[in-house]
Amino acid sequence: MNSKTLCLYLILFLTCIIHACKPNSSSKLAGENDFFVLSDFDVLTNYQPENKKELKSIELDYFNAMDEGFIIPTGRQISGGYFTFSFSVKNKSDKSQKYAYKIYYQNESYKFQEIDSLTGKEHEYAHENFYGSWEDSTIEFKITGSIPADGEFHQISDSIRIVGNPRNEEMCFDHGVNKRWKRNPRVGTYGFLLAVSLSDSTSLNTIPAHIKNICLQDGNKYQSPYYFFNHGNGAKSKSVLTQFSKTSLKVIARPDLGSGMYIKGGHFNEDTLNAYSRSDCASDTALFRTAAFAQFIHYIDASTNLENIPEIKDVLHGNYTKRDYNWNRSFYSREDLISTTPRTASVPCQTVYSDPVNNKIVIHNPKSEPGKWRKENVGIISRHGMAYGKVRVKAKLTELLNKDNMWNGLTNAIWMINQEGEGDWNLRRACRKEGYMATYWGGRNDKRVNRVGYSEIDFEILKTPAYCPEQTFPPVYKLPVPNPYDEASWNVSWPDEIMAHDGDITVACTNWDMACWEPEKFGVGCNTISYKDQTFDLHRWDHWYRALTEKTYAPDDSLFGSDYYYFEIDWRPTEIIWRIGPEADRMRVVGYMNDKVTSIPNNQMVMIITQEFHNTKWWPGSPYQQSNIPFPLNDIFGEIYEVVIE
Amino acid sequence: MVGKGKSIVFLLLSIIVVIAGWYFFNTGKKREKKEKESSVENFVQQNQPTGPLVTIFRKEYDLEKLDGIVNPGLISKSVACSGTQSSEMNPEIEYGINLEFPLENIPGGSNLLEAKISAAVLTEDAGEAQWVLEIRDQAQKILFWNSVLIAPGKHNWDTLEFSFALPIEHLNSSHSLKFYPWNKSLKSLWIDNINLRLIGTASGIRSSNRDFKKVNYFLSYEEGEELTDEGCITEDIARTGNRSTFLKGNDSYSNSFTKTIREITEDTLRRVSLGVWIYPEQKNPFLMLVVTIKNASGQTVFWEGRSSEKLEFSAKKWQKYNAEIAIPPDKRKEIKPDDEVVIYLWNRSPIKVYADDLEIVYGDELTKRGLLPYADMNLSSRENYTFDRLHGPFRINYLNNIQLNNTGYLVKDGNQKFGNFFPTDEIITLNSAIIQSDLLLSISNNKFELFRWCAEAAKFIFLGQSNPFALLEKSTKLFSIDHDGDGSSEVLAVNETKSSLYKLNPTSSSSCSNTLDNLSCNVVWEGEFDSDNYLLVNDFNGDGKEDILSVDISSQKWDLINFQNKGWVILASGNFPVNCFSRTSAVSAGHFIPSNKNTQLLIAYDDNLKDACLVFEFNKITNSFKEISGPKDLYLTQIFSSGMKLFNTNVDDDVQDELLIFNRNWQFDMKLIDCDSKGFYVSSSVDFKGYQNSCNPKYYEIVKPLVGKFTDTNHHNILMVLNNCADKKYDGNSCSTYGGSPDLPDQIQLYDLKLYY
Repeated sequence: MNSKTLCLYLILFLTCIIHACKPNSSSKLAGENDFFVLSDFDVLTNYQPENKKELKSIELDYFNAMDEGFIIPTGRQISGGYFTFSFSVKNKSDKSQKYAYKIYYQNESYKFQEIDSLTGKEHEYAHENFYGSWEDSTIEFKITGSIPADGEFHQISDSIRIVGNPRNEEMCFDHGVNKRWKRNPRVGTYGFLLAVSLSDSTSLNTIPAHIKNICLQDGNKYQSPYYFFNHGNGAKSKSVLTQFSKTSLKVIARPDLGSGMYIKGGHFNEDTLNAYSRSDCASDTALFRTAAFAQFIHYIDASTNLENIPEIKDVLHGNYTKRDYNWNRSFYSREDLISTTPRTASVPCQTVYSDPVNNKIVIHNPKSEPGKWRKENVGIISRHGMAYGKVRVKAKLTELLNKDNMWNGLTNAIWMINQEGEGDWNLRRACRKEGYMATYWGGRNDKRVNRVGYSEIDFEILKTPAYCPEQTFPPVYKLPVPNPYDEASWNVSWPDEIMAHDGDITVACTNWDMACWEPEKFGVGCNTISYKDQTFDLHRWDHWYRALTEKTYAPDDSLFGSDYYYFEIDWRPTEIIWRIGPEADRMRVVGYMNDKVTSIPNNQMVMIITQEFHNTKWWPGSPYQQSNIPFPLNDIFGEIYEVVIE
Repeated sequence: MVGKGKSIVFLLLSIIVVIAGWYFFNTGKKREKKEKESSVENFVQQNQPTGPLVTIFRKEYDLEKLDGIVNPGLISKSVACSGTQSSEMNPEIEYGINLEFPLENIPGGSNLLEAKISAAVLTEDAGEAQWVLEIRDQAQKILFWNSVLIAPGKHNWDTLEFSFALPIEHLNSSHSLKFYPWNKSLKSLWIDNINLRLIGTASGIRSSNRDFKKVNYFLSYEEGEELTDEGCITEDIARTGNRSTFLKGNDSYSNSFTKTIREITEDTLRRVSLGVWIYPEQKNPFLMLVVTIKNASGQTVFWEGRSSEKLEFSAKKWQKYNAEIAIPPDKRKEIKPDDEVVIYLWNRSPIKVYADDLEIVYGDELTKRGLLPYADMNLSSRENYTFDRLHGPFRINYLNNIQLNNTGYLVKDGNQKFGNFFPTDEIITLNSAIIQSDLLLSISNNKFELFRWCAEAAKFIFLGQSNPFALLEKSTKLFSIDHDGDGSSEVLAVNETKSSLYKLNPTSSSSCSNTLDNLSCNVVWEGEFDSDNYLLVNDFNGDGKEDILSVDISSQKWDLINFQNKGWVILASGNFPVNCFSRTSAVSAGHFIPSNKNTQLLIAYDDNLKDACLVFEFNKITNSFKEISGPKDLYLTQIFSSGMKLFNTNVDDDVQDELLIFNRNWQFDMKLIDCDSKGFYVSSSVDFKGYQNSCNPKYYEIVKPLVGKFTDTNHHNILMVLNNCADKKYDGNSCSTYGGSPDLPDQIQLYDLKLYY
């Protein structure tokens, strides 16, 4: 053998050595070790069997999900209520063998990467990812039957379903009952991971107990089996093989808007409930089970009291002009005003309607009459909490500006808020720098706490100017002087920068981060953030202000003058993206925040859609004051056509 | 020697007396001055109450929400008069809910006289329970204490009222009122729905003399502007006009702008909003927009600047820079009316900066004039508000517009326009037995012009012009009088030199064509009427023929006269009370009071700076005016006041007349007034709808309403002659040039005057 050939052999040998020594997960995933070969792992084999695509979709079944949480699939979707999966094993040994296996699922759409690219270790938040296995925590690895050493592949089949609280965490238990809805499955794409091991105890003992039983913790923290098997010690195991299923499952939530309206207890007394309930709108057990939405009753703070002009007008359609506004704000004496807070419904089911024929929800702010002046908020709230997701709403909410671009006083809001319930099961992760402000309403002297339950992500769309740039905020508004002999004195004009956006309304995108100072770029005043080719202005009033807001102008005619419009809150573990558009596939980004600038909520939230009368004290610099806008002469309608969370 | 000694003693005594007298005299003066000063500053009650009694402050508590109540006591959810909660006292609780009001927080009003509390009380036996009023000083020392027994009847929940006269000597603005129930006998009581009213006088609310302050300023640094100095003006560059102000840098200042507090507000200055355009030679200059307030001695009372240090400005470009400066409450208290507010720019950087187009707005919009809102919809029991007879907010009656399709004139025929009315024109309505609806008569170029409504064409048509009459000048007053009861009015024209009675004979035609022929007009009588007298036409004695009430304003002597047999006959005479009739009195005659067939005369007048209102009826038997209003009718001054215009109308098709009142003080105050067994009351305030292009009659600077049955005989209309004044300054008195508002053009509008609810 000449030296050249020798070198070649040497190089080849070394290459093989190196390759053999490297914990090559792909060789593991490819399914072979010294003992057996793993192949053909596939899931959802009993679901849409004719569909050969690698991504199958399923919609959440809302029936009974209030009690049990979402289950994927339910018995109504697949007979038996489980997905089946199968895999094949070839015994490479010389005698029959049994093998141990366990299947895991994980939501891949809304997760933290298992490995922290900076540290190379498990991501500190990987334990928050939504992953699970069989619900029965006593089942660790299952054992196959005896596989002969015949050099053939032998198929093993089993089943799995995705449920809430897959780790059976104590915080979701209530009087010994596992309230799985407290940690509902996330929407998005699920992948499946199969781990197969030799079944002897020595081999199984190489797998930590908290990986065999995901309900257990490693110390005081859960460890993601995905990290363990792909990057951790499990990746190096000689006796364990893992394989990802080539088929994934996309879970979509599409709540049925025509399934009735639930009325939550506590807002109305029993007599009122009985008097106003209907078959499609009530507090009964049937609607408790089936209704995807409930009537939303705002909390109204007494400090939002208005001293409102006593006019009742159809601002949108009744030729109410800026001159009318200026007159009315100037020439009413205080005695003639109406002292009132924005109202909420005093009886249920009158201002919200779930239409089972057209599968839509209709809401309206009720009209006023002389002596029955009211600016009453209206809204609906989803009943099933979720963490993360792209929440997309198709709606025609009320127009906000009339043909003179006069505002009717309403704010159209599509927003999310933490799901409520007794106990501390739904707190946000800890804020590690001084903590969160403890309450939503407290001032700057509010105490700080390590964890807090409050979270909120908003679309609020109303007539108000941008806060940024700071040098032009607030606009300089002329004050009217009530001199009846000089029209110019009371009929004052608005600033140029306001009139430049006369036909526009503002889309305000807000994340309530409870003033957690942890994000590295926590800022005050106006700062910018870039996303793809856009730059957004972020604004926070001061270091103790609990919310971060971005504002964008948009034409009222486009958003609310058309037949419908789409609004989407894309809530992800490290960022939030707000989008709007005339169609679902033609949306544009109007807001962006990430965890560098704000604390992104990680607790379970519900969705609310409202048409509400805000006190304009909440929106400094607004060109019209709520108290100078008339009460509504006619009911003001909004319609919700579709809600999709994926 | 003895005599000399006596003299010395007497002299010494005299000196002592003089010295003592001087001492006591001066001390008394000082005390009086101190008392006067303290009474002006501290007391919330004047010695001479003026104005009507009004509720100055009102607060209602339904105890469902306890915001603002310092000590609600024990709140019970077991019983409630309304809602779910009430305040409970029992054998273990002696004192109930505490309601406290610092007197400095009572807005408006100059004379607190009485406190009234009403509350719903539930008890089987109240014992000696009392409702207590305490007046306390700043140190919480009780200065005054009074109580009223709680004596419920036998009903389940009884609403009781407790009245307390407020002692003037303790109503110092640093004191506070405290109300609470005292369960003296330690029984069981529940209290709910508490309503507190503080009653006093609030003079000056109806004052039409308003000093309208200019609060919005725009400075372009051009010539003639009110700058304090001219030192920094430059013509190098300007955003608008030719000039700007130049700040060369390194602590240089712009021209400043100064106003006294008195010039910019009657109230407290809370905020100054500023906006300026700047042109820096380099980017990011360090500027400050400064507001400073100096007192008469030149001392700085307040100083605040808004810095541009953290803001980004580009170089060589005009950019806006806004700042809002709030004056904190403690500083506001120190500011006096003569203090000066000075505004300027301060350049603290070495960068040269030009500034132009400075906008300044003094104040904020928070406070409206007047007392507290009367209607509070926050109470749990309040789904519906019951409109008050005397207090706003009133129901609004929106009158429907009848389109005239014209602008400033009534009729157009080819190129000719008729009825181009101005507010100073004399325009009256006439009855016509031939033409069933009311006619409109005006004077133009010494001629009568007559108009009527044509229903088919839905427009006014011209019935012709009379021959010219010298008497028909601009200053001539016209009166419509059907002296003979034939259903058609004659016209009495009165000016300083002579008077005439005319009979007009318009052609009766149902066509909608204009009549350009001469209007037939006969002079029935010529003579003299005292043009200084107040004249009012009505059928006072009920004989079917209209009479004239002529009142000598200087003596208040009245004559009731009627035209008979080619001359005026005095039917009755008498005297009205002093000051009743004047040029500003608001007077109307009609059948207002139900079941009273006599003609009533209502007069609202200024009685030595005090509002007064009387109602008379003409007694046919005694041939005299008898006053039928009395002490119980003092409330009338809350509806009627001098300076108002009163129009007799009927909007609800009942037998009695209603009144349309119109008061053009700082508000457009037009209301419909009715009368029932309880008296006169405001049935609604009037507004308009159906007008085009946002031209609501209320918005015009000069408004002349005319009431008549123009469109048909069954109901009234109101014709509005609407103008603006193009003069540089117009105070509501005289205008030399009308118009001047392109998007609110002078016009005539017509509305149906009826109830729309």
